[in-house]
Amino acid sequence: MFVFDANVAVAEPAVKGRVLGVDDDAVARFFLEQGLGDAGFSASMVSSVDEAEELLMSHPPGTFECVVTDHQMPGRSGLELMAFLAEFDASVASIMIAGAGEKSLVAETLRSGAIDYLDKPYSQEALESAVSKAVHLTRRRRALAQTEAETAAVGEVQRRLQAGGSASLPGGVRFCHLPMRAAGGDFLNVYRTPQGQLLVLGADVSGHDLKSAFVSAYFQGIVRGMIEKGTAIDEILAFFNRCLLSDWMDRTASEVELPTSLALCAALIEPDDSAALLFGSGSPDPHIIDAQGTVSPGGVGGGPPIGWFPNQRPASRRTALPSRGWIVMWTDGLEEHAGNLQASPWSLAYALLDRNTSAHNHTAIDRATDDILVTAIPLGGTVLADGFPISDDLISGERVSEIDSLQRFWQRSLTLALPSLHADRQTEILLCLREAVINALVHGCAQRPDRFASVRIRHLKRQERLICQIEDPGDGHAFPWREYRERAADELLTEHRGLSLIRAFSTEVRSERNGAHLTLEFQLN
Amino acid sequence: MTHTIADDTLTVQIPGDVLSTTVEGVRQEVSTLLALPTVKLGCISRLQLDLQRAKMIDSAGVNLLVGLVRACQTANLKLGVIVSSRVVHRTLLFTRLDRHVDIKTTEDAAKSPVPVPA
Repeated sequence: MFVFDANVAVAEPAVKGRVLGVDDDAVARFFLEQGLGDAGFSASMVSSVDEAEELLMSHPPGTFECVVTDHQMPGRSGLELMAFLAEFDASVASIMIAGAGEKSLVAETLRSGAIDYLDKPYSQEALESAVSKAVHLTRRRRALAQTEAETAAVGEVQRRLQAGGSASLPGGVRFCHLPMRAAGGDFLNVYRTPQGQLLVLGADVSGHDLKSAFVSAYFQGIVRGMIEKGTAIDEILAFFNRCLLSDWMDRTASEVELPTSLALCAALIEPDDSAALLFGSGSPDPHIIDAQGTVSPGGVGGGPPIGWFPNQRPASRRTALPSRGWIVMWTDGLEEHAGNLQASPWSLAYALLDRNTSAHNHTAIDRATDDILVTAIPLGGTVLADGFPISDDLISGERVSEIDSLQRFWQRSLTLALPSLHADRQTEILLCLREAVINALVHGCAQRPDRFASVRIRHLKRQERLICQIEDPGDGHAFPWREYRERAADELLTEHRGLSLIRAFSTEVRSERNGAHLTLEFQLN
Repeated sequence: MTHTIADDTLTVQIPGDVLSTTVEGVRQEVSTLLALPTVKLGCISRLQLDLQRAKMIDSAGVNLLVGLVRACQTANLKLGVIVSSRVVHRTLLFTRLDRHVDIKTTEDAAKSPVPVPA
């Protein structure tokens, strides 16, 4: 939302304001009209609420800047006019006039939306002061509404221009831009270079306001132009650094401070998807995911954002890519918001990407405290439905005491990524995860802080399956669970109950290394 | 955790999930109740756990029930549970505890048939 600066002056037109006066008493109406005219206001007078409504509706909204109405009138009262105004044009400020015996109306009048209340008989000074305040308030309300509408329009334009403005991006790239306000400082470029490489560049201009959005659009356009002219990516980024550090700093005549830095991550992918040159500067590392859902860090190493140091070059790393999978990049806003939601960043990324760019219907996601940009670049024709991660964590052995908190983390992640998953099925999945992870942390990691279990959850949307992989560094322990299950029931044995539950609730269980690496599959429909 | 004694049944209300992190409290509470003179003197013949607030019972919770089955056998008590969660009901059936425990279900848990894996 745009923050309105109350100190910004609203330009005053020659006429002090256009006022609608309503009074059934001809003498009172005469004095009101004369008083308004003497004070420099343009007055239109009517004698009833019905006439007032008719006049208001016959003029374009915003014509009148104040309504002054008598309270007690034959037929409909001034309060009814207030109710009409609240629906018809809530921006117009109104003033109620009432007799001395109607003091009890004050509270009700103010509740109904009037900003002031004049006792009969009122002085010229009181009338002028009240109407001046009302007109000024109306103008501020309308200026604010106009600014908000224009800001929203800027945001809409920014959304349409994101990634080059195309509905279908090169290389099947998916992204979601969720600005914290109507418009924000994140931007995304997705283009084919003249050499046929795919460039995906996500960036985060410092700040969250319209200045950031404007600078963001400036950089975004520059990237497009320079790429089309064949400029190398690191030269483009060097240019940005110069802009932020020297060019703009030389023009500080204005008191308005320009954004000072730019965090970015980028991938320049070979035409055959075999390798990529990854860039990072002040942003979270890109991730590479293979077809089995294994997440690897891009290994770029980061470094400070662009604009901090002269002659700074972003860190880069050339890396081979899996034949199928994804490169996923996000701005730090995603990690921050996932932390606020106490869920995995992967679940938030999935929720955003799966809903595409119109994520604004998702209430929990909407309360972000920073701009969020997330991008998934498919490799080898992979699509989001092919097993995108929902959670991917290494958990140390000593954290077994935190199993309830871990379970809540998986629950929130599943709810975020798969909001339509049936509650009972979710509970069954959580029960299996709990059992498998306790086993991995207690036996595989011996509850040691230096031994880690890997827990990966991914969604095979096409097959409506959830895959959970739990792997620990231990030797595992094999046992014939089918035979054991019968004995456990007959002889009331207590061992291995967890694995029995996992077997019962999972659709499919695959065990490697004597159970030290478990793959649990859950049918979701 | 609250309990009631009505007729010859001691009913213990379990406040939530029965998990590895909560099971010890339940175990101690039930042990204390089983040591009450009323129970020792044979005034009750049935222990009933009200698990209607439990959405999940993990393996530690299952083993608590296994322990209670044994304790009740020793004390010559019948053991029963009331469940409302379908997942809890399935957990008890999958682990074949229905062979030893009288399971009563509320409407929700009984809504759908419970397939027991081969």
